[in-house]
Amino acid sequence: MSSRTDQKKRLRAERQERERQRAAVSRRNQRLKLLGAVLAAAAAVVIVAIVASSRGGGGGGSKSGKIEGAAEVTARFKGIPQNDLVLGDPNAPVTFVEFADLKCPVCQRYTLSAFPTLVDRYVRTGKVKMELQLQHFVGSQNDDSEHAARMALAAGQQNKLWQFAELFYLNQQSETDTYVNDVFLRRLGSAIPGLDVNKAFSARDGQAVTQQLSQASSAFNTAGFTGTPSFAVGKSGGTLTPIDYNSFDVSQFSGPIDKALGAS
Amino acid sequence: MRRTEVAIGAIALVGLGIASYLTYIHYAGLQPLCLASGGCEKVQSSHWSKLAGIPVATIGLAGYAAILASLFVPGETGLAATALVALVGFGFSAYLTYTELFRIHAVCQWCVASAVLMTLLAVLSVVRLLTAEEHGAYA
Repeated sequence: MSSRTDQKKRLRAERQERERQRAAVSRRNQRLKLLGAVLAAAAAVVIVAIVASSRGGGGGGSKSGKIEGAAEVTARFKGIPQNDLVLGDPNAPVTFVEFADLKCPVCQRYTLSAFPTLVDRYVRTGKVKMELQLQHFVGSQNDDSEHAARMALAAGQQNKLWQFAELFYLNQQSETDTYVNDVFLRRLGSAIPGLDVNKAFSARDGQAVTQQLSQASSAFNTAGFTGTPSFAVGKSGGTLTPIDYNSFDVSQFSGPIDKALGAS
Repeated sequence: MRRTEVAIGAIALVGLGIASYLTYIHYAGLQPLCLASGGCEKVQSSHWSKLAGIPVATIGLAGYAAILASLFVPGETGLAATALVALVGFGFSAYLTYTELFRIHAVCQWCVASAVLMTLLAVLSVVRLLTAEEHGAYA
């Protein structure tokens, strides 16, 4: 009798253990499925965020035809006076000149890293005015750089040079590709509020733009520069000193600018 | 409350502190305290410091707050919510770290610290999702 009771107990215990194990396996499988769903959802959200981040302002160019970063460029220069080549208060005590080529990827790197901080810290506060002297030798085999520079300078006649240049960098493609055609330039220009693109197209081959290109080239050679981007800084109206930089860390530029501000 | 929940909560609180600081200096127009010369300032003022016009620091703040809040949601919904937010944070932090190293060419230690916290949160929240008991394991 006692043996039958023990056997029943044992069988019940074994059955309960099997049920516990089945429940544990079932729960583990359910959790693994849930984890898979969570991972898939997380991956989808991250991909959307990365795409939005790239479109919102990342550099690297777009071959899709869509212009990237227009809103950020508009915000960057909002409220800062601009006149032709010059960004900032015309009476700023210090002048900072940048010699750059719009097709140059290293120039893009400077614009995406140190430039925004320098604008906020020195130009927006009226301490420094920046001048952009565009060169055109990177795409010399296909005239891409010259096409870009001419359109930028034509935009400068409407005081939109800096918006055009930054927007160009944000949509820059490989320096070995030929992509600076009228369709591309029109897309860029149309993304800049207040720029009359047709007027800029008319002005880009004019005498004024040709003269500015020539003067920029002469200034570059006279300063003894050999590559872009190159920079010079000094008291406004005085002699400018080339900046010897080895990275695009803000300090590489803030040091010479602060020195010039101290001397002015 | 299990040790995993306590650890997730503690790490999320530290992350919340970092993200709050970065959000504050963004809106106050201040420069972040930074050990490396100019690195934080360069990253904070770069084109990648915002997502759809919202500062990334503010998005991080919302993420850490969401992780903390999800600890109080019962059942598998809470487990999944914590893991989802932490994994999204981890993935986006990885992308931002790549951007710092190879596009901005500057490293912000606040961002690195946040990325490390998000990595820990992702690991812990996945462990919690897989190991939590059916009932009573939630905060």
